[in-house]
Amino acid sequence: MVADLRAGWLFVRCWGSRPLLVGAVLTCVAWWFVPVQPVTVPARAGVASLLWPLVPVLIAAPLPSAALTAFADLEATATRARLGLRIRALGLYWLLACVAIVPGGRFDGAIVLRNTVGLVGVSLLAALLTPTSLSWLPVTVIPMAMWLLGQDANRTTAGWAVLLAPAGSAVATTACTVVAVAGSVSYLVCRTPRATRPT
Amino acid sequence: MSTDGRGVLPTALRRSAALLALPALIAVTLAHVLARDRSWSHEWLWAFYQYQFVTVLLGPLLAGVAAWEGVRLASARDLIGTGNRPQRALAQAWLAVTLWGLLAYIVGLATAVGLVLRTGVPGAPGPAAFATIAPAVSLLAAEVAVGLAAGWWLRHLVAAPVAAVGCFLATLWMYVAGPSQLIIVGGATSSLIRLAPRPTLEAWQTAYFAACAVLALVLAVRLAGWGRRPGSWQAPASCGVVVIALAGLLQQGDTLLHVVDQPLVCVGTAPSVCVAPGYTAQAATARTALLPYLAAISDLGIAVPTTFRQNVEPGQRTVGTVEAGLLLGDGRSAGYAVLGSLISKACPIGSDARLQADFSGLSYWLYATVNGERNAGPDVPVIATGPSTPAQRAWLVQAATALTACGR
Repeated sequence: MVADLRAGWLFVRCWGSRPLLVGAVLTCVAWWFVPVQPVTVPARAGVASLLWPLVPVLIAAPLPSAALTAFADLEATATRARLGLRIRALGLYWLLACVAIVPGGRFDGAIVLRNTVGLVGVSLLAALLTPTSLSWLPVTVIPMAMWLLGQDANRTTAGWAVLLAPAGSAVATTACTVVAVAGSVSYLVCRTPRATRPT
Repeated sequence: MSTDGRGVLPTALRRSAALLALPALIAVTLAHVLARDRSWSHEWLWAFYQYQFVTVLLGPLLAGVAAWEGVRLASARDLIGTGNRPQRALAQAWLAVTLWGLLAYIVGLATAVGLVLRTGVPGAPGPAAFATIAPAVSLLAAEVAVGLAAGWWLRHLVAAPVAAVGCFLATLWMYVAGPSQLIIVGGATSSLIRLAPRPTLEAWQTAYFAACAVLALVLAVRLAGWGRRPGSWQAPASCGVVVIALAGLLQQGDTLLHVVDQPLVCVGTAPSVCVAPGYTAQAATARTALLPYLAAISDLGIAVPTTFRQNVEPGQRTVGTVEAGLLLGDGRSAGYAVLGSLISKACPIGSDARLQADFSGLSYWLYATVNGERNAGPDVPVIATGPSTPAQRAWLVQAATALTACGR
């Protein structure tokens, strides 16, 4: 039992998942501090937008660095099959993300789940498709831009601001699901080795 | 030695992570200019001041990129520490990210200037417009320095999103909680006619952000252990400068803009519409929109203003106000401009039910007469909605007289 726990902790450490654990804790804590009411958007007259739908950024933002580590030498030298290792890592990411958003149920659970799925998908895709030094950028820029520009004074949400869309939005749900599936599948099948250290 | 020094900056620029991020940085500045309301394109000062709001998006991104640079440098910390001037490595990385960020900033500013020129605004941006650049650029430089120090300290790839998200949340927090002069370097939701940023405040902001940038770099050097030699004075001195700049900035108060004289161009007579030079093309449209409303009020025998100016507050009685909707020829805005010119700003209309009834009835009748709109709400007196009879006319004259007499 102790050996199993040690092996599990080693797995977490080797796959660079400690920032993810910190991110998950921060996400859990953030649900209790994020304002429930819309927050005034700076320099936009009469525009206020909800901040809590963007809390899942805290768990998604550290993911690219952890996902990049999974491509390290460890993976190449491991005795286990690459696909098996990645399935484990991916399972860990999704598990942490799901646990981190449980306290978010005090808001609209459907929106929280949808946004978490979408942002984790964006992180996985960014880890694979963008240069290593910029893998963190999409998951931070997209929510910021949506929050600053995605709503008008009448609380009408622009079509592209899917993270701020209401719970019943089929477009937003579809977009987030597609991104999450694409990110997960790409992460499992992509063979491209990537650097673990900034270059 | 000097040859080596000249070669370091180009190398730092070429190898900077900000170069790779440049398309994203430029996209952010262009989105700020093009994806938002562009009412500012009729005024040089408003265009420049509004553009400086780009710091809210560009600053966190630059902090993230700089944090990445900090992590990269930290991986070679021991090697850098053996050099003659290890501090220079951090300074070069900071300068490289700042310069690339500045390039993205200039691209966005040039786009904003192009949009202002396209609307036909005469003249060129004045010193007050160019002065808005200094606080914004120094704020960006400070965020780069903080990001670099964070990456240097954390030594982990996660430093980049941490710095970006942290800077963004800190910015939002300061916007909401204040003091506003510690973060707001631009962004105005309405025209800056007769308003301008305060030069002394801008100078203190520039000094404060620059001092913060230096302090962040000095602290990063100390974190590496390079600055702990006996007699090291940089960190205490930097802290002292930051405290002095902060005190000076706080002493300025949180009033960001002050009232200034604004030369206007007047179009037509009775009414004469006076606007800032950038709005000359819209003045005739505004005048055309005003004419039927002024004629309707004049028919009641009530004196109306002969001049409408863009740089006055509503409620002056002798002169009307030109708002953004009126410049677009919006009839409802024209009606409000005419009605607003009848009522003194000293009139307590909000607390007087009789005056409110007079205003509702008069405004309903005015819009119905000019536009044929007939949407009477529950607060509109019945007589105002009836046919045009002597009794209705007497009521309207009484209402207009009561409103014009109020607050005298």
